[in-house]
Amino acid sequence: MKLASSHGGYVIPYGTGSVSSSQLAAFDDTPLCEVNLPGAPLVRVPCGSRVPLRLHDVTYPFARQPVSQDLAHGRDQVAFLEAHLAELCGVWNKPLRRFIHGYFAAIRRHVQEAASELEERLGPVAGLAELEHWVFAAPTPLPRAHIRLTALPDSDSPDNGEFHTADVAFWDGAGLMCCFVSGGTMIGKQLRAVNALTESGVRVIRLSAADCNDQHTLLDLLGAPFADFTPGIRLPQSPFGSQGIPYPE
Amino acid sequence: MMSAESKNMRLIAHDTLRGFGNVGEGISLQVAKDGRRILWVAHESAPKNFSGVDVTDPRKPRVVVQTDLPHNTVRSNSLEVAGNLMAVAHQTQTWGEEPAGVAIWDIENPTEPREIGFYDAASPWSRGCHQVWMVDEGWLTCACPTKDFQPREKWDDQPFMMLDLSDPTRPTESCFWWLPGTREGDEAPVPPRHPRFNQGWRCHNTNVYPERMDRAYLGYIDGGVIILDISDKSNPQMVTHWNPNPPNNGFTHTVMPLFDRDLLVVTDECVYDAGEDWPKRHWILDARVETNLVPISSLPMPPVEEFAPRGGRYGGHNVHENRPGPSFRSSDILVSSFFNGGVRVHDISDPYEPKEIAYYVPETPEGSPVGAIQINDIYVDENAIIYAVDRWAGGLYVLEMDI
Repeated sequence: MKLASSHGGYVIPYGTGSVSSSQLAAFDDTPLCEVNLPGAPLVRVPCGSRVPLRLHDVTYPFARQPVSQDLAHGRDQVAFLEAHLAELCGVWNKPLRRFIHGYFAAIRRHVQEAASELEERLGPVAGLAELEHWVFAAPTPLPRAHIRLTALPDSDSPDNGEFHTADVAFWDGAGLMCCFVSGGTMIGKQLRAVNALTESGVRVIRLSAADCNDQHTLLDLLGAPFADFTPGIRLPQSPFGSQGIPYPE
Repeated sequence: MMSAESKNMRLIAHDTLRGFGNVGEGISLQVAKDGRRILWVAHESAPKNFSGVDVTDPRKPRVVVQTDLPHNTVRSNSLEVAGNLMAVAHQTQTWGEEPAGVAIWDIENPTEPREIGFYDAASPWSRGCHQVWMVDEGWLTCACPTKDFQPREKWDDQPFMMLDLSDPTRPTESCFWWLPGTREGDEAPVPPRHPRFNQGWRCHNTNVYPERMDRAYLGYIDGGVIILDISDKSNPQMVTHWNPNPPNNGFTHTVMPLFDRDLLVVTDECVYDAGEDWPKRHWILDARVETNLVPISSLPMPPVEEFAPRGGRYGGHNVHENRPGPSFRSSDILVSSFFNGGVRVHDISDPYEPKEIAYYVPETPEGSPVGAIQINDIYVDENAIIYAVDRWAGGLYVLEMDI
């Protein structure tokens, strides 16, 4: 098994309970700009990308449109995005919402702990960008992500082109990583998803409720790409800005 | 005679329990010190008290012990295991008989269980204990009166009780609650009787989970669902009360919280044959606001017109209760018992639209007086192996899901 690609990248629907197999055709037969899965936002990661998909990289289909005057400051923008991603977890999925809130607490904490260095890096544009904008450099969590796998060319696996659902997925720069955060006994489709994803080279981890609540250790548990997510970023960007701030040369 | 029916489930073993295949509502799994896995089942009625079945290899269950009741007008019906202790309910056929209460057994050596303690609830107004819930060492809850509890209406005779088992040889009351109005001397009025099926305002299941030791989830028979705040054991308080009876036909059985989804699963028990008390269903309640429970769906079931004529009861009864221990735990998959509807499995990932994903209806057991299977209770272990029991004669069915 391997990750299925189309349009030169991996297209990942997320934020919805299921994606039906009848919607598969949209991925292969339609130009990406026309792919529309009702209720499911999509991200596209270029095949072989070695950089994380960051919070500031994604165009979010906000159900409630942000009002610019309410989002004048970085902390308000971060809170708005956190609430949006929590909504995409669904009404009944408390463990996943706990993960999203735990993750945002952890990345906020990381930025605060590195505040002096990050403030210094803002130097040339201080006033235009705020410390809190560094939060958007963190890898973006895709709640209820549907990962499409396909059989290897010489395989006779019947599991071809089907979606497998992960509680949350990240493209962390090293590859795709999926987390399972719901408690309970894994059976059936969940186990099949874990096995198929692992077989396809996806890094899979399980986190307990305590793991998700611990902002001190959560980023370490997620792995090396999360330990420090700001190197390589010259200036922070906001997904709410029309364009990034140009670095003064 | 009905033959077996199945979808995404298969029978891997069947044992009629040495000819005593009438099993009640008590199934619990012990992992003994020597590694054996012993499934304990309470019999629905005399002469047998309980059986211990070695299910270390679930494909080859083997009865290793079976005990007798002292006489034929007492039943055990319910039991639970925590560590090396087992609690067994004793309910008498009529008020004032003995033994009535909760027996505590030492099962460290599963083939030689020893009764080491007894909570005596016998009184002229008592039938004793119908149900026990013990998922942790040191305490249990049960549907049982104290000796001095005198109900105004005789069917209101099994309130909520918590017993302290720090000394298992001397179980003592640590928390006791009844619905105001049901006890002689209460100021509150007696709650109204169900117009067709009066079964009383009393506890059936009394679930308390280690995750929320401040809450008791009560199926209160004709009284519906009651959630108690038991953080102060000396002064339990009713947090919420949701009662669909009437128009529904009573006998609310189990209230199972799904803590990580803010949902409740509520089961009705069918207690009449041939669909007389239909509908008896399993309900999903929105419990995001604990004080305002909202029913949002019920589990889909086959048509009553098709199943009721098959014989015996058809309708809801119990659900695997996500207890701690060597037990399946899921907030998405429900495994339920539906009498002649067999074992049925539902996916409630979308709780507004539950889906039936598997079932197994065993063939009519030999010797069954009702002419159909009557799956009374189920237990699912941590490997998703289902243990289901027949109420009359069929004994133990071991099932494997493919979902």
